[in-house]
Amino acid sequence: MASSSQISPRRLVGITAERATNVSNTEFPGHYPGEDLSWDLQKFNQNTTVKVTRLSNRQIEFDIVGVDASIANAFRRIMMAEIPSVAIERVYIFDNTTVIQDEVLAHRIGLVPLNVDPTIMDFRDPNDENLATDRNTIVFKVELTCTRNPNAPKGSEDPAQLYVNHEFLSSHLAWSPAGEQETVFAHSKPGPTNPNIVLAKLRPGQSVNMELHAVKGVGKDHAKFSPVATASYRLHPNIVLKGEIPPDRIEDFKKCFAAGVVAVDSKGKVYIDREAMRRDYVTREVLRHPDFADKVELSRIRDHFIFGAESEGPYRPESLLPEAIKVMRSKISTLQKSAQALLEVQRQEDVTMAEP
Amino acid sequence: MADTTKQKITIMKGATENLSAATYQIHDESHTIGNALRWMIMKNPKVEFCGYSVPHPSENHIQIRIQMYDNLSSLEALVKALGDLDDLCDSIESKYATSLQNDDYEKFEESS
Repeated sequence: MASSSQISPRRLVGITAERATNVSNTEFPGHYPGEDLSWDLQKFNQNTTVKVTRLSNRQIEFDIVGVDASIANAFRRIMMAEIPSVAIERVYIFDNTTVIQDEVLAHRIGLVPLNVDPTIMDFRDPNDENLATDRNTIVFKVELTCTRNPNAPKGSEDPAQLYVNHEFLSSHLAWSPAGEQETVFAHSKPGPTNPNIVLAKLRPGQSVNMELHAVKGVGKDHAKFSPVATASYRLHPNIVLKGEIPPDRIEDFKKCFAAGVVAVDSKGKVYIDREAMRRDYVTREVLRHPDFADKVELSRIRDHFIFGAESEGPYRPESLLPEAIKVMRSKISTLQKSAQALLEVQRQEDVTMAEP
Repeated sequence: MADTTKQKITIMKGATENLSAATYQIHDESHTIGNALRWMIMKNPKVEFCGYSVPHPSENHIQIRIQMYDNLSSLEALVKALGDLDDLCDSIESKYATSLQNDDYEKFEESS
């Protein structure tokens, strides 16, 4: 990890009380005389690091250091909007006597994350809306009626004891296999990732009867297709001490930063804990104190991105970035084909133009 | 040449004949590719100017303007940038995979 004294001022976005300074990247050819800042894969490979820092079954944190914001942002945008996933798109309601209106209930059902691996499914042809096959559509059925529980304990006011089926839960989605789906999905039965989502509440006599069609889609079409709950990045904070902090002010100084950022060594000297600095919020609180304002310099490192992504749906958190890169590269390859085709047309025209 | 690939990028009118200055319209793309591509094109020292825009949020396309020094072809700069961008993706992908394999990170469990 870079230490403050080594970080080139060019890589820092300054943070002052009322202003962010040096906001834009300037590392382009021609910006600094005598420097070659053109694209060089070898240099990029040397100067760029990618490191996973935290990983759980639900979320991941990783650092990408040495890339431009446009690249980091492309990965973030793709994670949210362009990695495909499967969600319920059509709801055919035969009966809904709950207090939730049909369209509201249909919307709620659409947002339920499903555990279906999108790679085994095809996109449904948008020009042929009615063409549902076992390759592009998964069908769920819901049939639920709330009744009184004859064996309810006397005097109970708990709906769970008084009634049977008083809640329509995501676990009530019953998969109805079609065609080859039974063998394709043999290893993992399609269903919600979380069985305990309450979709509607029922009382005796109310019932729900519907058929749900799940299709593959992307987050830019509807947020329900987004495979992540959040995908975001922040820039690595950088805090540099510029002067001594008087011993009687150390406690107040500490309170201006996230816990553990300001530390005191055995000789009573204040220093910035570099590990903890990563977690600071850079609130600029310290700059509001007149006696601290000139003792510290706040900034963020422009090319150090700390990504955080929470997976919701079929992808494991560690496979989100590879999936995003896959989507990015497929975009690039379609563009390459198209640009190459244009280039050929251009060359042929050059030839014909030269002849007459 | 398939028609689908032909329509993905169109050269907008007003481009110079040798394409040293041209605006390209890319269909079905957004800031995601627009900004990344703009950055990579600007990394080319032969490029005088490059900028991109999303002309209207309801129209599903972006425009990239490229102007070259020395009457060079902007289309070739575009093709080069696409290739470089792919190399970049490949590099990040393998660095990420290595980091994941090195297993040097904090692990924890969460209930869903």
